[in-house]
Amino acid sequence: MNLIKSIAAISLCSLSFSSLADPTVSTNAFITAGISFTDSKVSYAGTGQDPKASDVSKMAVQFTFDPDMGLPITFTTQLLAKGRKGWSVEAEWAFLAYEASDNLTIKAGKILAPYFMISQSIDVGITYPWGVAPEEIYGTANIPFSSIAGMDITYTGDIGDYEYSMSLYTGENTFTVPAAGLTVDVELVGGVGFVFELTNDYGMLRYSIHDMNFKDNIGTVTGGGFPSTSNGKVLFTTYGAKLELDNILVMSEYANRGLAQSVFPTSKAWYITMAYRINQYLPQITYSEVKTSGSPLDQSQSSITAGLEVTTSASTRLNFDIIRISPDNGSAGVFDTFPVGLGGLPVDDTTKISASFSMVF
Amino acid sequence: MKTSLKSIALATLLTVSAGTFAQVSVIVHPSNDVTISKKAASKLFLGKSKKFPGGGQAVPIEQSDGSSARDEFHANITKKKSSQLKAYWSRIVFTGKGQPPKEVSSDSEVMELISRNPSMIGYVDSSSVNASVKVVLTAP
Repeated sequence: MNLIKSIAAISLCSLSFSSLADPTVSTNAFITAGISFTDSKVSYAGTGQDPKASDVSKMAVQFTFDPDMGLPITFTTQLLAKGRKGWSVEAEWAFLAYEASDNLTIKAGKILAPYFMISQSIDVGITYPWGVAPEEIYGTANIPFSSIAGMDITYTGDIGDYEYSMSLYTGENTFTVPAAGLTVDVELVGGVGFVFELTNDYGMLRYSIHDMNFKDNIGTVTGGGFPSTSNGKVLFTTYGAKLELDNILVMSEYANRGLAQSVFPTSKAWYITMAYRINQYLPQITYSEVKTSGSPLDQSQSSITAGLEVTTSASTRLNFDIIRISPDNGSAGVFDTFPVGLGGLPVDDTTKISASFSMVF
Repeated sequence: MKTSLKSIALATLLTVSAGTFAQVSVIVHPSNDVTISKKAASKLFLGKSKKFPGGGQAVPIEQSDGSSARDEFHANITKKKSSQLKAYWSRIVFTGKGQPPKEVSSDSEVMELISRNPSMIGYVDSSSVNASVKVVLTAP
C-alpha cells in the first residue's frame, strides 16, 4: 500500500511541476526495480528466501528551482521512496545553493552527508557497476543515513591536469538504526567533516574525515545487557580511489569507524571492484569485508560478488549479481540478528542473488 | 573481378575511416574573441565552469544522444563515452549540483542558435561549418 501511495505522490508531483511552463524549474527522476533473494533462513539486510522487490527497488523525483533573481541561487529537493524504508516518501535532500563563483559553492538545508566516494549517487543505479552496493561498507550497518541538516562549503580548483575539491560541512540528524532486526533511535549532534577529492579524466582519489557525537536508546529497545541510553563519539575516515581507463574500471574504498563510549562496535570496512567493459557488457568481481571489534555486537563478515551490468541505453542499465557472504565465526555479520553469544540465530555462508533494472530520466 | 573487389574493399575502408575519424569543430558567435583549449571546452561541457576563459558567461549547447558529432566530441574533449557521460550527469543532477546543457538534434540547429547568441558555445561536424559561426577549436 505504501508503494502505491509513493508512486501516486511522486507521479502527482511530477505532473504538477512538469506542467509548469517556467523554464527555471528542472525535473529529473530515477528508478531502480528488481528482485533479490538468499538461501539463508535468517534475513540478510532485509532479504530472505522469498524473492522480494523491496531490497533493491527505489524511485525518486527531483526538482531544481532557479528563482532567476539575478543571484546565483537555486533550491533543490529530491523526493525518494525506497523499498528498504517501506516505500514512504521522504525528502532525501532539500537545500539552497549559493554559487558564489565558479570555484565556491555554499549549501544550506537538508544536504548530502558526504561520507563515501559514492554517497552523492548511492541510490542512482546507473552510476555504479553493482545491483546493490557492497553491504559491508555502504550498508546501513555502517552509516545508517545519507543526509544531514546543516551547511556545506565547497571550493574547487585546478592543479595542472587535475581538479580538486575541498568541502567543509557541519550538520545534525535524527534517525533510526536497523540493528540486528531491531530499530534503535539515534540522535546525531555536532557533526563536522572535511572531504578532499582529486580527479582527472581517468579517475579519482578521495579522502574524508568526519567527527560526530550521538545519543542512542539501544538499551531501551533491546532490554537488559545494555544501558538504556548512551552518548557516543564517532571518528569516521574514508579513503577512496576510482580508475576508469579505456575498458577497465577499478573502484576501492576503505572506511574506518572509530567509536568511543558506545555499545556499537568500531569497524574497518573495505572493498575492491574490478570490471572490464566488453561493448555494452560490464562483468565485474568485488571482494568486500568488514571487521568489527570493541563490542559484543560483532558484525564481521566478507563477501565476493560476481556481477554483470548491461548498458541497454545511455540512460538504462540491467544488473545481475551473485553474492557469496561469509560471516566470521560467532558473528552475526550484517544479517538481521544478534551474534549467537547474545542469543541470536546462527548464520552460515549464504548466497544472495539479485536482478535489477535502473533508469534515469 | 579482382580490381572490382579491391575497389569495394578500399571504398569500405575509406567509409569506415571517415566515419570513425570525422572531425568536429567547436564553434562560437563570430563576435566572440575567446581562445579555448580542450581542457576549457571539457570543463564547460561537463558543467565545471560557466564562464569562457576570458570571463564572459558561457552557455554550452549539446547535440542529442546518438549523434556522431557528440560521440566524436566527447571521445576527444571530455574523454567520456555516451554511457559514462550519462552516469556523470546523473551524479551531478541528483545532488543538485547542476543540469546538463540544452540539447539540440542537428548541426544546423547548433549553428542557428549560436549565430544568434554571443554567449553560446557548441560543436558540429567540421564539414557543416558555415560563415554564421566561428571555429575556436577542432578535434581530433
